[in-house]
Amino acid sequence: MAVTSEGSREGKELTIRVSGRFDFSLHEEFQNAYSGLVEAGAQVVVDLEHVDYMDSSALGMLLLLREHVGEDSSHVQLINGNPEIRNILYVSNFDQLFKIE
Amino acid sequence: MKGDDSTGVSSVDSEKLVFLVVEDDATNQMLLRRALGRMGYEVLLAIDGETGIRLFEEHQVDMVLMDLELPGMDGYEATARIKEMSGDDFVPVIILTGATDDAELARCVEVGGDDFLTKPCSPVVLAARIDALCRIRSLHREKKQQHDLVSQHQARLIREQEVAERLFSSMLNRDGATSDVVKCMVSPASIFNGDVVLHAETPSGGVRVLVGDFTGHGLQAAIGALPVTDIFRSMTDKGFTITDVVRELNQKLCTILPTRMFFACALLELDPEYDRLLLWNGGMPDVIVMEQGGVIRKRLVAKHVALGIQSNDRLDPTPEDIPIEVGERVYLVSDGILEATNAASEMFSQERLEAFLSANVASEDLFEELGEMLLEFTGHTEQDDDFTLVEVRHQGRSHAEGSSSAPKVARVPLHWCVELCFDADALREVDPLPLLMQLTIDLQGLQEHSERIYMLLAELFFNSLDHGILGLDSGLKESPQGFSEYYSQRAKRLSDLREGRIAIALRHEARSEGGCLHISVEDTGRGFDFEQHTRSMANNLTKSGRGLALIHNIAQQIAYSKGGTRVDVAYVWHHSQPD
Repeated sequence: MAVTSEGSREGKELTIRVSGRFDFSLHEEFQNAYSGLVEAGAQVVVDLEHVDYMDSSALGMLLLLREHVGEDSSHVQLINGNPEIRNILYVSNFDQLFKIE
Repeated sequence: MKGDDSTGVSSVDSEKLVFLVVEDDATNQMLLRRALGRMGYEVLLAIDGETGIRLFEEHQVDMVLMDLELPGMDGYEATARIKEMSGDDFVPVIILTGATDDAELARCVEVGGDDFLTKPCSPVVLAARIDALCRIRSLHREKKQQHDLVSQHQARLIREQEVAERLFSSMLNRDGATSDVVKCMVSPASIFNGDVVLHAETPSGGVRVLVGDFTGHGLQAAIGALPVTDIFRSMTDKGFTITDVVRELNQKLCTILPTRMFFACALLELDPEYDRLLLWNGGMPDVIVMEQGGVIRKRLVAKHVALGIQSNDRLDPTPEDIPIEVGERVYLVSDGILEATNAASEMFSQERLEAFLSANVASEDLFEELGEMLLEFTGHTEQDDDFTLVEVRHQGRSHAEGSSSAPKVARVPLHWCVELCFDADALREVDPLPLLMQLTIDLQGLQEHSERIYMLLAELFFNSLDHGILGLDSGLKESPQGFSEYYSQRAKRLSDLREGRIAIALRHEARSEGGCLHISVEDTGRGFDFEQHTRSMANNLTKSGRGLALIHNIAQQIAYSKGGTRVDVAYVWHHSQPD
């Protein structure tokens, strides 16, 4: 599985782990990893530790997730991205939309 | 029907399935004919392989019953030939054989027989086998029909895409259209391209460029390019600022794009009159400013999120304001070039691009050479993304004079006047220039003069606003540091503005062969020592004085009054010669 997720506190928190190429082929898997599991206002952590490539459709998927839990940068955290992944996020100025750690 | 009547057609009915029976034994022939006739089929009879093949050629045969032992060409060969002739179409062949040994049966299958029956065959078994093969045959036909339909659809889609692509290319000016100032390279990864490159002249004689990249590729990525093109072109024509264009684009894209799609884009404006570069970069790679010798002076990183993500109240549409020198070049790229990978999965990268640009900055064939280098780098690996590179050169002020759009005829000279007043709130919120330009064009059709008129209006209005109302010191603009200081002070004072008023009046007077546009701008500020200004201007052209010099160049008369709070200029135009 390229995308796994693990929730706690009854839909208030969720951690999504993505691995390998984060691109359009993960579209459905990524959406299934949170839809129905969390609602607006939840805290979601996306762990990018094992992602080695990310394209703009992945950025689009993150935007969908952000919309799902509420468009506030404090709701979605993107963690453990390698320097290249972080660079993509920063170049896109996604630090204005997400918490990046 | 007699046994020796080898080639007779027993009946003609196009509705019925047609059977070809190839059998040399008269008794068997008769039995088969009778059995098939009773089942309601039409029967063609042949006594040898050659006749069978001839009949198969001449008639539309639906199924074949083939005896193996025939005079001349045997049943194996005849079956193979018939199978070959039927091509894509599935015409079942049932082989009739006396033998039951495995080798012979295997050979039947090998030559293409679809089933076999041991002679003599019972009518019940025959009927069952025919039924089964008919079912397979109709399935086959159905599949073939569907396949043909899909092929037709696909061919039509491709034709439609080609037409749409041509329309699109001409609309977006995708043919790599260039001018002396702007050069573009765009190579699409698919028929439709997610990259957008637009450029247009501003009414003040500058050039404005947009380079953008929609999420994804293909039709869905390209479709958003239409409203972007529209907004960019029309707002630039009307004299709207980059700030206005960014806001409008974002508003539109937020409305039409689904959440997962956005538009990374950089808008750049070169103002050759003031050696200024305005840049708004939302999610695009670094924009490079390169000195004449190839040294990179600045990398302008994206400060904003791509368009179509956040609503306007969270968006900062203000461009950066950077001084630029004559001879410098600015490069904008899309990530397609930077992320092009070679066989070893290495990316082309910003470093390689910069090294290439630095080394080849003076080359006339820069774009061809970069194209070749990219091809060499990627080898023959499939291109993943769109490649876009745009170069904008600051060639000094001269080009502004040479550039002109298609001449448009001015209207019959009319007499008219308008006056607009802006208080502090309006000055903060509204840019009156597009409105004033629209008025002169709508009322008098002065498109041909719009660059000059815009320059006059802009100079007069901004002098009045910056110095009269905001009290900024134009001497600040002398140094690069002061330059940015000037614009940051300006932004701050403008947003804090609570008092002040500017009145702009346009009065047009018809004259023979043309007209005269009187422009007056009056503000509630403290005024300035216009006599001193006029003297210093005669001696040297400082950056701050250039505005007034420009007005003197374009306008016929220029007069200050009321302690420098009011200025009147007159712009005279003729039908025949715009100069």
